[in-house]
Amino acid sequence: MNGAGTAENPYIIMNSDDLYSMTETGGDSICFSLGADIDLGFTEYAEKFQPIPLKCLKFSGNGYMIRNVNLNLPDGSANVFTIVNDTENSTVTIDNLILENIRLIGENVFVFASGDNKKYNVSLEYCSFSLNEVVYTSDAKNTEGIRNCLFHDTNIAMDTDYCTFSAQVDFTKTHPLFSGDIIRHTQIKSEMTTADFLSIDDRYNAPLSCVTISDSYMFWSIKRRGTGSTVSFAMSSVDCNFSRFYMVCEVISGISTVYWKGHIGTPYFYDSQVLKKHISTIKINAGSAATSSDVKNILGLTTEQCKDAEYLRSVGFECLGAEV
Amino acid sequence: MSFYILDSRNNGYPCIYELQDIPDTDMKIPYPHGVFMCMGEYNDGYPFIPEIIGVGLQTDSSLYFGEDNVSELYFNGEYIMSAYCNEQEVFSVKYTAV
Repeated sequence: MNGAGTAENPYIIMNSDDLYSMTETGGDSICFSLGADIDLGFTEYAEKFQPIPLKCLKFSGNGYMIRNVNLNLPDGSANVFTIVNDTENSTVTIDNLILENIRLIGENVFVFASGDNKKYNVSLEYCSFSLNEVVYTSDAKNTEGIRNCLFHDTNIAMDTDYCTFSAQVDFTKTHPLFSGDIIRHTQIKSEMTTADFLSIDDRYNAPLSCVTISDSYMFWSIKRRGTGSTVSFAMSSVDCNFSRFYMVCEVISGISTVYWKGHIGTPYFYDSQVLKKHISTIKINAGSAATSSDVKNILGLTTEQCKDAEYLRSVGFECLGAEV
Repeated sequence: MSFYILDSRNNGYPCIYELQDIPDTDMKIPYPHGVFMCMGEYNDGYPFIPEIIGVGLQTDSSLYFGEDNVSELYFNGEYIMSAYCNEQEVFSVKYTAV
């Protein structure tokens, strides 16, 4: 590979051989950069994908993409990346990377997994990940205090800034998309289907679990496969912190009541016309640690109001509009 | 200021100016191996996996890059299925039995 592995002169990855050589050429202080799109559909990994080893300080996508990941392990864990840094609690920074055509099927599914049960941090900047087909073949068992989520396993803490995530997910039982993460300036879209709902604790059930999220928004839909009694469903868990956030959610089936938990520091709005299409009851902060200001900050708006910058400013949600 | 409302972006909902609109979750061609697809002219229209029934991706191209025949063409990051020069098709990608 060209380059020296430094921040000023990173190793340049041009093909899948370079990508998978990171185990040998990488290290906790080594920097890599993509120099081309990597289409795994035209490599030996097309038939049998192996998780991409990340052993580095920084991995820059340079606007290039890694695409055509197809991993079907109905009895195992399916993940895109495995972090194998030597130092526990080291941070891997990934920027300007695009993931496209990602198909993951497994008992557990992650974008990032820890290779040797060491704890790591992942920092994402200006990344765009499309998880086109994610299928959980089991209820991704969560024991007390262990919080898996779609984007990483329990050994990893993630923070994102100016990122885009889209995911089509089929659950056996619902499961967080994000857990314990710090999410900033990020847009999220998800279409979820589930056979059933996990009901032991909202931290293992809500799409946003124990996250701190600001200047971001989420568009998502959820429906239940087949029939069954409807449930109350938490949009977020009790340990979440929200500021400058909005949500457009369509509950298609399986849920009769939705509620929010968490600390809502600034006005947080949702599109009530979209949410109310199929459900009967919306509760706000029906849980412990709710304060009157948290409750006041959750606003159900009409679709027209959601798209009106002047109206949003009038209710305390800072937004510029046509005057830009 | 983090949020902007721009008619052409994010279906009119507030967006983050620095980010492109969220892509949909449909897969983009060329697809990964082992994925079902429906194409009416194959398998009586029922879903099939191209690699199983011997359907491949055939590229016809009179385009060259140096001395190499062009087998994939991208424009602005998008995979191109056909290209024309002076109203003549000079590059095309088809699913055919190979």
